[in-house]
Amino acid sequence: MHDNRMSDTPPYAGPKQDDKTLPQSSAHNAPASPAQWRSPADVMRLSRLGSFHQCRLSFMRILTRRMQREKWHLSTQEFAIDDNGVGHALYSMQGPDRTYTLIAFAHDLPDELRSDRVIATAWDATFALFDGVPSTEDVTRLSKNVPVQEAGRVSPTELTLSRANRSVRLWEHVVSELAQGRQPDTELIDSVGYLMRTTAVYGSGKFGASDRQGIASRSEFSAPFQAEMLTVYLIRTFVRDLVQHMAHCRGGDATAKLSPTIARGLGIGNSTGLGMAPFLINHPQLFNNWIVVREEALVRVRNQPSATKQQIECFENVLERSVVSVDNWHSAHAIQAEKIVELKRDIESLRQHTASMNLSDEFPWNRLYEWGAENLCVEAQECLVSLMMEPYGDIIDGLDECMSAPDTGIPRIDGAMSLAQLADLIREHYSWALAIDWDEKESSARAWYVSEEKLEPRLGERHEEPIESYEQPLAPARDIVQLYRVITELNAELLTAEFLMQQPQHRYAVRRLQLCARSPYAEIQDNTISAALVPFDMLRCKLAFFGAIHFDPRSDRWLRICLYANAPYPEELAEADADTWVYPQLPVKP
Amino acid sequence: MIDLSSNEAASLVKLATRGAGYPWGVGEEAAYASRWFAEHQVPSLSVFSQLLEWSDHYSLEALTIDLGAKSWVGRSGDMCPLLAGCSISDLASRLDQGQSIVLEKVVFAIVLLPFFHLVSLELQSPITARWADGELKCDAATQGSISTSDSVRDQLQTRHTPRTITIIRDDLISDSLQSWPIAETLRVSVDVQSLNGLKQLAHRTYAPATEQSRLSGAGAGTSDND
Repeated sequence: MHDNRMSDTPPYAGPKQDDKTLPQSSAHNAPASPAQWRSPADVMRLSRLGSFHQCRLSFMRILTRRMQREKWHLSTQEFAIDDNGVGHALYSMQGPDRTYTLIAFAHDLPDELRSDRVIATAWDATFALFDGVPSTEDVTRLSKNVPVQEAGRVSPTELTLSRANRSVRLWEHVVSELAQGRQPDTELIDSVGYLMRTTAVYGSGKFGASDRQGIASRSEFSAPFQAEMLTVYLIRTFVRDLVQHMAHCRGGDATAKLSPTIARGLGIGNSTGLGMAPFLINHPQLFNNWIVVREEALVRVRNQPSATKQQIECFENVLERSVVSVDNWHSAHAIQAEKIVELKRDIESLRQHTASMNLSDEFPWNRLYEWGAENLCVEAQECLVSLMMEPYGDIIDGLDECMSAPDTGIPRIDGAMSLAQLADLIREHYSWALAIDWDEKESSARAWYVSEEKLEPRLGERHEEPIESYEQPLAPARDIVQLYRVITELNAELLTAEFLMQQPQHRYAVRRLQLCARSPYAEIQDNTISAALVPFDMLRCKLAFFGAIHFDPRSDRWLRICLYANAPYPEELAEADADTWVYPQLPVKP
Repeated sequence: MIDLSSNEAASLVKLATRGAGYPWGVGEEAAYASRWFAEHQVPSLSVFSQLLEWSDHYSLEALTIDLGAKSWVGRSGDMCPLLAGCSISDLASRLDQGQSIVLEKVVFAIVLLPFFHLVSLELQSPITARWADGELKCDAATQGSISTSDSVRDQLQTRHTPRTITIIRDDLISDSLQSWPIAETLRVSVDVQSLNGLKQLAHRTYAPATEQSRLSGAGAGTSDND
């Protein structure tokens, strides 16, 4: 195994990194290395971020690899759910040091109350991830709080709070077919992909749960969102068992057992709305670290001088399996539907090109990447990036430890900087923002705000709705350009600290500017309040890091995805492929 | 008393600070201070509730500080510790050059402590704050980072604190001072009155619901029950 941490490599020649644990670009290791990190001006555009795919470093795959490596197993289980589908169940996963338990509450939800929106007040199932094994008292306490979600309170022993709704299209079909002794229709299964979809998975201290800071030092939570990913993983197991239980309640002894193959293909759906979009803007250092690690992984692959037969076969295998996955990707949204058509076309070009080129030597992956950059759409380019990483777990997987951001309080503003220096930084790092015509009404057409109603983040029309005075700080491009316009009219020698005391409304922009100048991939290089903004690009980017597939925008500001489809269930973890499961198996040839 | 996570408390403090009229950037610093308080057993929400109730009587301009060469003076007479803390942090390098920072009439001086920590971290050196009848040392490299006497700890919890505070980069201070206790958990305990006060301020940042907002703001309009 290589040492993946890169802590002793020569420094990256580009912008200074704030976080000393982050990898530095490995491109400087060998003079003959052709590739370096891609330019932030290219990577950080929403059109590209919104075309990211899952990869080896996706948070779900980090978790399943760990659980297999460390021999996690389902250690206790309780399933106290009645014939009406009401009750609770416990699923405990035991790792080497600790046990975590999913507490699931199942409800009999009238159809008319089912909604994926944040404004919903009831769900088909609700969940908490408990730190350890809960006592009867814990279950009783949580039974009064978890089913009401935001209206209840949880405690530091709970790591997450979540809920899910049935897929109306699939749930009844699967229950009734199994109850009649038959397997469900696989075409219908493939077209939906899940029996339930989660509509929120809250962590990080929300509603009284444990702070991330309290668990961040545990090795199993060193990568981002691992508690949330574990929650969804166990929800999928519960949902499989619940559908079987409900079928058995109806069909009795004649009930068929859901085929393990069909069960394996089922994931957990997820509806994600605008609430997730601000995350990437509100956590610039963390976002930078995710992108740095992904870029570093890509560079390591592109700089491989040759590839072995085994590595080439691995790539070709996941490429073929990707074709199957893309064939199962459906979206009625015009933008996404067109992107899928282009992806299908270009993935075919990629297959043909790969078959025609010699991948065994002369920096094969770099040649392939460069061909892709010239010949493929952005959606397919990013798909290729993910596929190229697959043969190289030995030099990539250890990077997952660099994807979190250390808790360093708050980035301190360097107030000793002169306004001239500040203006220089803006010209150097925000030229893209200065180039936007801010006098055009469309450039500031939107405003992000939080509604009084259920505190839901929303995106409104600034020039048509009375929302501007409630605007959230989610327009860094505009804010930094405003800062630039102000400081270039003032004495250039004035200290930033003195300026900020006179005009403290610019503190947000100054802190962000100084941080982003040190962290090249911290900022989305697009206008997040433009009339042309497609908000689901922001959602997709984050969800791709989770490991989601089959993005299906339902409007420009919420989308559905599928998580864990084809992943091994807990009882299969020891033997099954816990790594590349995300790619469906190829159909068996007759 | 109500039990909150540190993250919940910090999020509330950030919104309440904004709701009280400070800009978002200052709200970020207030949230940081709230987290630091949670780690140091300071009743964060009670402190911020009182501070923001006080500051709510002033415009932002009146709360700004004249960063004079000899001493800093709040334009309203009393000095806002949040804006003072921000500037102390911004000007950490001034202390590094051997200069002192002198503050006049700071209210709720306990709010300065998280910013002392930032400065000590930046300078990789202890800093000392002294006033007529008290002193404290902040060394970010040590557990708890703050050392002071029990009486100063009590004094700092009140609104009216020393008239003149001098801050210098200096590690020459009595060894008899006690380390500030560190919390075993990150929980924040808050009384109902303080919590409601902060929630009311935070509420000012929420836009009233309108039908347009309800229909289009979050992107509804497509079936979400299939």
